[in-house]
Amino acid sequence: MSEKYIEKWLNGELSEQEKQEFENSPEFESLKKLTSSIEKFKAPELDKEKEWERIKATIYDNSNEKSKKSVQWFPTFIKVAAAIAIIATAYIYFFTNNITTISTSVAEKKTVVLPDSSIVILNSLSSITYDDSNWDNQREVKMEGEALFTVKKGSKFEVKSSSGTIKVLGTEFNVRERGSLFEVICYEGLVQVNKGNEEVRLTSNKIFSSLAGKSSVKEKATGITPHLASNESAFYSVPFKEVLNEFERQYQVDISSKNIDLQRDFTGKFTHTDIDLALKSITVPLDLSYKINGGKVILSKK
Amino acid sequence: MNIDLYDNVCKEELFKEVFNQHSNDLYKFLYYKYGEENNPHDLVQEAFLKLWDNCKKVTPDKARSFLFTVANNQMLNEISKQKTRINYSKEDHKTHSDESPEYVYRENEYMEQLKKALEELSEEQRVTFLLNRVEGKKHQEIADMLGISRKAVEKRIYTALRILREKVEGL
Repeated sequence: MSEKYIEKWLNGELSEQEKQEFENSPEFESLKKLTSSIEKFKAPELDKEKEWERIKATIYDNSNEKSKKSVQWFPTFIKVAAAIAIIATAYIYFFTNNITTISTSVAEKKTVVLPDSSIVILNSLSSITYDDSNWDNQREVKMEGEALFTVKKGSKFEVKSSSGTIKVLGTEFNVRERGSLFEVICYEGLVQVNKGNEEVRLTSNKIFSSLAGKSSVKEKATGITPHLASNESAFYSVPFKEVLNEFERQYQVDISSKNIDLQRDFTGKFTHTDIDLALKSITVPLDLSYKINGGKVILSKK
Repeated sequence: MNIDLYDNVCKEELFKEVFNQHSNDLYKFLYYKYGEENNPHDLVQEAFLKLWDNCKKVTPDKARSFLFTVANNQMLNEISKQKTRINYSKEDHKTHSDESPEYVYRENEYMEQLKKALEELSEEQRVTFLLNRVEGKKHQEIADMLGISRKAVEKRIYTALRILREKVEGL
């Protein structure tokens, strides 16, 4: 007797003729015995009346204990209470005496929106720190490295770096503090730079730069946009050494520069998105040539 | 009472109607699936109480599938789970007084073997097979209870029968 027959028989799909054939097969007897014996395993019927009384008692009990209404809203109340507790904890945790520090690594840039929606673009290997909770009273940012600030108009805004302090009211300016170089470029508005006893006010398109303790104020060509915002590094009469250092931070490369005058002033810019183009930008004006070798860049005189 | 007109089962008469319609099927289902040692009566209570707790979210036409979903997942992680036992009704001896002692003995042996084989089936195989063979439930109806396809139900019934035959008849 084929397995197929049994399957069909189970599903009641046998034709009259097949059925007769099947019932005459020797195995049918035992199969019939099995299936009829199975019927003795029938479960007892449920006493619905009794079980309903049980359910009713439980439901009635539950609603009696807490009163019908509380059954409905108690869980909601717990949820709301929990939500409030979480928000309050988060508020205390984040907004009272909460110092925020944001930093970038090599070849990374970040745009930070400060609590008053002033914007800071952070260049590679730079960091800013500010106090969230006290922001309304004191707009103060501590910084290292290089950053472009676009400050919302309002109360005094201060940028503190180890080289000096910049105070503004609402403007756009770039601060670069790399090694012995400290440079503030004012793009818009008025910026006050304090360095030691020195106090300099910069109007737009003025650059304050201090190199190894020597400060100067220069004017840059007008119409130049903030370089960090357009993914570039720009320099205004900066020693070539600082340019190469910045290049290394941007592209994560080692630059070898034997026999090259690193103190020479450089004015110009390079892009952050194309290493070949960037190398051309910094070598061609100084009459240099370059070779890229893995993570190394070799500069030489032409 | 046309219960499909309501959009949830929170009203007591409505809930009772749902209970009357589905409790017996649910009980059979739980009995065959977990065996009587695992208190199918209590599991029925539990499933309906869960329905009551969620009565606002369940429309009358969804109540059945809600109950069976609960039933399918009940005891999934129960540590106190007992070994499944399925019992058969012992026939009245008086009506069979004319049977030879040997016949009675062989018959008892057969039933014990069948009982053991049924208990050894997987929960899914057993509940599918018994609902069909004992309760006469249609394949589609069982498929709806278990949330599987009709084809899968047919396959389970067939597999269960094959296993039983192997164990009982030594095929």
